[in-house]
Amino acid sequence: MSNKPSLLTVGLEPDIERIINDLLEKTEVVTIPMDVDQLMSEVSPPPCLVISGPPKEGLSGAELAQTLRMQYPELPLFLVCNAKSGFERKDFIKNGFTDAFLLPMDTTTLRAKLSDELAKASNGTIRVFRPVKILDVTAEEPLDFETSIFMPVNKRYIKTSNKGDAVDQSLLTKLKSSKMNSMYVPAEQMQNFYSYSAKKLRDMGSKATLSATEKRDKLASSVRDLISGLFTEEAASFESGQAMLKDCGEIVKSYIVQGEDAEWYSRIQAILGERGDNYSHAGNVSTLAALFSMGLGIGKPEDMALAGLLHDIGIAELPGEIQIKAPEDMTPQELEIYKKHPEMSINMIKLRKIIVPEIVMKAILQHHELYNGQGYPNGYFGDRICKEAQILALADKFDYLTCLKEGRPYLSPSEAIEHLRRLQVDDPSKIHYQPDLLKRLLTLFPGGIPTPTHNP
Amino acid sequence: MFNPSTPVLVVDDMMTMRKLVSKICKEIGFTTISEAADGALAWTAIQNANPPIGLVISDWNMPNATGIDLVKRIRADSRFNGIPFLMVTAEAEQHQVVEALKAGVDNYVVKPFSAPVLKEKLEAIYNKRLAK
Repeated sequence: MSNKPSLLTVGLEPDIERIINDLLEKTEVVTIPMDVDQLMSEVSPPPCLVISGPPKEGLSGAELAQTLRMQYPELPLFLVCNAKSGFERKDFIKNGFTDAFLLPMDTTTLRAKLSDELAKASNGTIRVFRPVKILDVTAEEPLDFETSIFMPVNKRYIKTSNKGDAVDQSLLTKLKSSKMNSMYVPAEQMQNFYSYSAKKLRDMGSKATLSATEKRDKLASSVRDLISGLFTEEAASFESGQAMLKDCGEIVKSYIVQGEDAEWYSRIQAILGERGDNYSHAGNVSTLAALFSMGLGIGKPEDMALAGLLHDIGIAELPGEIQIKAPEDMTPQELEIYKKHPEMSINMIKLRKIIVPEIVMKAILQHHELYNGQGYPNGYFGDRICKEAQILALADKFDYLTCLKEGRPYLSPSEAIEHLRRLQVDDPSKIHYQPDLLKRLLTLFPGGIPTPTHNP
Repeated sequence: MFNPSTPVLVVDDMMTMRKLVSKICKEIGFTTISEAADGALAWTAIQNANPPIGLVISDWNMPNATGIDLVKRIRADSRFNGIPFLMVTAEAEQHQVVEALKAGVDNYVVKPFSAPVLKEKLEAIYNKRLAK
């Protein structure tokens, strides 16, 4: 007898179905076309969730939203759309949708929210697992999240520890020496995993029994572990890579919230969220900048996270035509205006009365300066550019290289790192970053340092 | 509660919403339901209705004449100013409720609503106004 939760799809396009197919397979799917009469008819079995394609056939977005909401007042209602035109996320939500997703950028968020809802609706029988790197875990330490490993041979998850228990020592040793070094945590317990990771990172930085060097090494090693998650086979697809980066983002957020003066973080996120974007370049840059800071011991991770969130806030003030173009495609006049965005970001921060450390302002203002003096807005040269700005610039660059841009190829994380590695070597006149800093940054990425050999 | 044969006028520019509200009215027991797609068409319907409209359920945001325009017109006309009026809207901001009440609506319901909720709102109107 099937106890699968039931899900209703309304006018969902096949290529969107493909993206969530594995999740759909765990449910009883009822499909109806985008048709007024069918929208208002009873559906059997009654769904626990509704996923709709974009409004069509003379229905406005408001009408689709309001009709579905009237029909299903208590259910999560998701709108999923491929095309940017006509997509007004705030409007859809105002009129009744629980959330609206623009693919492919919001794929990660869609999958995460869908998994959560299905897990809830199935009372936990549907389980979705997320791959994680458990930092600095010791054998006796109980974890407040369940862990599993994945057996590719029979495609099953095998539980390795219960919530509240420690992971077995021999298993840990086996995992460290084998290639299979991802553990899995149930999706609904990820928040506990984020808090655990953040606490570990904080403890490493503050443990009285460790010397400064030991602290730095431990942090660097942990950051290396977190970042290496972006380079696994699982992360190779754009969606999975973004999911892992979001996990790192949650860890960074938890890290900041565990420190002092943390309420600004939610405030800033709220300001950014006003623009209604799920996918966030600012969020990714914030995560990467904070991780680089932790791994290299440069600047404060909280400051770098803030700088990452705010570094491009001024772009929203640029004329519309310029906002949607990539710098390579701009006319000289447009480029001149675009180059004002660091200053405009600073102005916006002042205007919004957001209280921000001086170093964060500096980093944002200088994040497009280049080591060889060819950057903007001031053409600063060499070490006049603060280190924090350079880290911010590298975080920005890395996300820019690996994110999806309409009509433009993107690099995988490995390709992006190769690109950065070759950057200054191939053409000495193109020294954009302090060579030593870049070298140290690359050691945080896989392949950056020689792996230590085991001595039996 | 209203007599089931009370002629009801459902006003909304969205066809799906008109259908949904009409369906809910039928569920409650009403037998005579007509529809109009905006405030101007509703006014025409009210003027021409025979038997006269006994209850108006109207959306707020509509082209040509809004729900507020409609209720003001109804209240200003001695032939129709006694017609009970329920305003439906997707928003529930404080200032809108006050504006609606000042303009003369009897009650106010926020989308989405179910049949029991609508029934409750209508009963409140009936008990206040007509049970005398």
